[in-house]
Amino acid sequence: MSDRRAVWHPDELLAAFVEGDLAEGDRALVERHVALCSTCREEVEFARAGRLALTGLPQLKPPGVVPAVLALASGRGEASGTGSREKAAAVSAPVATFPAARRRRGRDAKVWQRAGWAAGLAAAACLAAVLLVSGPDVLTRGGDGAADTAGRAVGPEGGAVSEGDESPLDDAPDRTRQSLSSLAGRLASEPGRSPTQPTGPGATDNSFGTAQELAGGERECLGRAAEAPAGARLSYLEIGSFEGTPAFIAGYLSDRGTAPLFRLVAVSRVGCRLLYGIDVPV
Amino acid sequence: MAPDREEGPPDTELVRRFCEGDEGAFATLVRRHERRVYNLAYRMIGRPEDARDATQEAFLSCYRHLGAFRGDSSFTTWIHRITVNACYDILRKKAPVLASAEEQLEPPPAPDHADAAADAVDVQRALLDVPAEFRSVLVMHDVQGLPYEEIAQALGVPLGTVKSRLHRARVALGRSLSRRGEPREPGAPSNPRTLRGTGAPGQPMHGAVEAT
Repeated sequence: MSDRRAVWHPDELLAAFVEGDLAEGDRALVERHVALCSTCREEVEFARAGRLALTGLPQLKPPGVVPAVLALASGRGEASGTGSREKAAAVSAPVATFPAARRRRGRDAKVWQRAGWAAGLAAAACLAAVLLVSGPDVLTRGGDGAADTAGRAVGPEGGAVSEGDESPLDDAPDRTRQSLSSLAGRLASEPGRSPTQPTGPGATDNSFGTAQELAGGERECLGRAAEAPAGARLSYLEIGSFEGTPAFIAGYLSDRGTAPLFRLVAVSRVGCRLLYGIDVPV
Repeated sequence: MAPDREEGPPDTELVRRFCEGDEGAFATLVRRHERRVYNLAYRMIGRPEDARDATQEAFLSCYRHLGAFRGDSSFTTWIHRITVNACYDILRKKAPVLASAEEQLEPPPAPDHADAAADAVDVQRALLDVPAEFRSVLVMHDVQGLPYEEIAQALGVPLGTVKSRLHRARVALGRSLSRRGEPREPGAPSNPRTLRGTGAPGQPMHGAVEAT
C-alpha cells in the first residue's frame, strides 16, 4: 500500500462515495482522484464488497436481559473493583461441590462467568450485604424447620426485601445445607413419586400448581441457574429461603439416559443465582 | 436498518419517570433497546455469551448513571456509547474469537440469498479482523443504520473521523473477505489473530468445562 501521508486521499469523502451519496461537486472531485489513484481505486472496490457483505447480516434476537439487569440493579450492589472481587470469591463458597467435585468446581466457575463478572460482583455485593445486615446467626442457624419469625429476609438497605419475600406458606422452613441434603435424599428415594407432577409445599395437587404460576422468566432463569440437564423435569418446588436468602428450592428429575439423577437446588429469588445444589443418583 | 417503530412514551419520558422512581420505565427502556444493544455487542465481539455479558453490563451501567443523563444526546446515542465501551472492556480482556460451531447464532442463508458474496458466518469472522475502533463505526453505521452525526456523538470524535474510520473499516473488511475467499495452500496457517487466546475451533473458551 502506498504511503497515504505523502499523497492526499479524500478519505472523509470516500465513505459517502461508496454509498453513492455525495453532492455533485464532491463526487466529481473523488471520481477524478480515483481515476488517477490506483490505491484508492482498489480500496473503493474492497469497501464496496465489505459494505455489501454487511447488508446480508441478520439482526439477532436478544437474549432478554430485563430480569437479570433489574435483579442486579435493584440489589444496588456497587461493583467497586478488588474489594468486590474478594467478596465474590468468598460468597462463591456456599455453592455446592456436587459429588463429581472436580468437574463441578469448573461448572461453578462457569456459573459466575456466565453471569458476567459485573453481574457476579453486583450480586455478590448484594448477598454479602444481606449476610452482614442479617448477622452471623443466619449462617449458623441449623436444623430442619428453623425459620425466623415471619419468614422475612433482610435486604441490603436493612428493610424487608420487598420483592420475593412473600412466601405463600408461612411454614416453609428456612433451608440449610443439612436440611437440603436430607430433603434431597428423601425425594430421590420416595416410592411412588410421580415423575410428572412437582410435589412440595410450593405445588398443588394434580397440577404443576405454583410451578405454573412462576413467571416464564423466573422459570427459565431457575432452570438455567440450576443447570438442569437437558430433558430434566421440574419435580419439586418450594418458595422459601435458603440460609436467610429468599430462594426457590427446586428439584429436577432427570431419569433418562445412562445416569438418572435428582438435582435439588436453592436458587436466590433476586438475581436468580445458584446458592447450593445437591445431586443424588436415582 | 430502519429504526424500530417506537410504541409508548418516548425515551425522554421514560428516563424522567425512572428518575422519579418508576423502575417499570427502566424495564421498558431496556426492552426497547436490547435488540440493538445486543446486535452491536455480538457483531463487535463474536461470541453470544460475551455479547450477553456486554449487553447486561451496558444496561446495568445505564441504570446506575441514568440520573446523570442530561439529554444532550438522544438516549439511543447514549446507550450506544455505553455499549461500545462495554464491548471494548471485554475485547481488552479477550481477543475477539468467533463462537464455536455449536454456538453459532447465524441462521443458515436463505436459498434466494445464495448469490451473496459470503454467508453470515464468514462475514462475522472477517468482521473480527477489523480493528476494534474501526469495527465499532462500521457496525453502528452499516449494520445498525446509525447516522454519522449520532456515531460522532456516541464516540466523542469529529464527524470527519467517523467518515474516514468507516471507509477504512469497510476496506479492511473487504480485504479480509477476499483473503478468506482465496483457496489456501496446504499447510498455510490460518489468520493468527483468530486463534489467539483460544483452542482450536470447536473447543469451549472456558477451559475444561463440559457443555450442557
